[in-house]
Amino acid sequence: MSVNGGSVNPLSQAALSNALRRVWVDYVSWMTALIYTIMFDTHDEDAIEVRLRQNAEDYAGIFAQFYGDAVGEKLRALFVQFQEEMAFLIQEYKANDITAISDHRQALYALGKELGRVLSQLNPYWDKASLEVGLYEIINQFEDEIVHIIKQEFEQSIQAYDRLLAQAYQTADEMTYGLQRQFSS
Amino acid sequence: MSTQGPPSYYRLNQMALSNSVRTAWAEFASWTFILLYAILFGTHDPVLVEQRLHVTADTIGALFVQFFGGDAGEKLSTLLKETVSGIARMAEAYRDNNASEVLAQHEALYRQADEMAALFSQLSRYWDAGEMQAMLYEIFSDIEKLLVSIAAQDSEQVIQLYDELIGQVYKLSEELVSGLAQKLQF
Repeated sequence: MSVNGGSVNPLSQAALSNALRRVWVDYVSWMTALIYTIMFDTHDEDAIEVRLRQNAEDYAGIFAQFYGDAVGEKLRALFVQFQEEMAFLIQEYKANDITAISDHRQALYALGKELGRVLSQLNPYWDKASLEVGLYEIINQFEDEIVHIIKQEFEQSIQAYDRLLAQAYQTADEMTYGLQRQFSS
Repeated sequence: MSTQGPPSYYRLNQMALSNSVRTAWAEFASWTFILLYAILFGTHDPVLVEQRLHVTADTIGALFVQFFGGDAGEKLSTLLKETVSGIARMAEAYRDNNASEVLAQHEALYRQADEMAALFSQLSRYWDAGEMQAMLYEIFSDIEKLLVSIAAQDSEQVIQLYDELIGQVYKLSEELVSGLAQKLQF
């Protein structure tokens, strides 16, 4: 498996940490680019979605190294659904459809719960509740970013992006910690 | 002498340092990306994004203070802030079709890269001025190409260039971390 051009040695904590942080920072960057695309027509939406699919592949590839291809594929599919629901959420904010926003928010929380459940079954060092809270926080911060960009509340949107990035790094570090603990002995 | 490498305590310290340096430079790339959109498409208030980039410049400077003292950190932070302002002025000039100003900012940007490379090489023998200059040129070249691609709404190019930019800032970060680790003999 290659993560952004380099092989990840499962036993190298620094390489693992770098790879997981990279997939999460890529995720935040390209989801933000997707907000710009949908709201301001800055890009070809399909191109950004293709890049986000690559991000899901990179994410799944890391886990496949430790838990096998079937688990990697399951996580990839869940991560793609997560990305799709976030894209729907942006579109519904643009359309100002309150009911649809609520539906997609609920779908995102359900996916966050499912991701938390699947991950916590893989590794005893990943706490289900803690993972869920982290993923819910990512959903909340992402939604904040959308809202502040729409309302042109630029100071708040900068703060939301910073919080989103911090949460993404925290989630990546939690994953690194669990993998290192489980596989280092 | 142990043949098993440094104890895990040191490896963890180096990882924390690596994470701090990489995070700060990744932030520099992310906010620069956002700054270009803000100037070209009005997605944000560019002044606020520029201010946010100055915070990152201070963060990067502060990482150096603990190793090389306040003057070095301050100098690096100032150079990075000048770089940020130069990128912003270049993007505005590009948006306004002001070719002579784009060229002036391009030249200023590469002078700042030269100054930064010289500063790094003065701080540590580990950092070769030519190598650091080449890495900084790659970063600034990617930023300039990104500006053109974002303005042209060439999505595939933007994606490729931003990935390259992140790769370049990570490469620079690793070079910086290796030099800092040598200083501390991790």
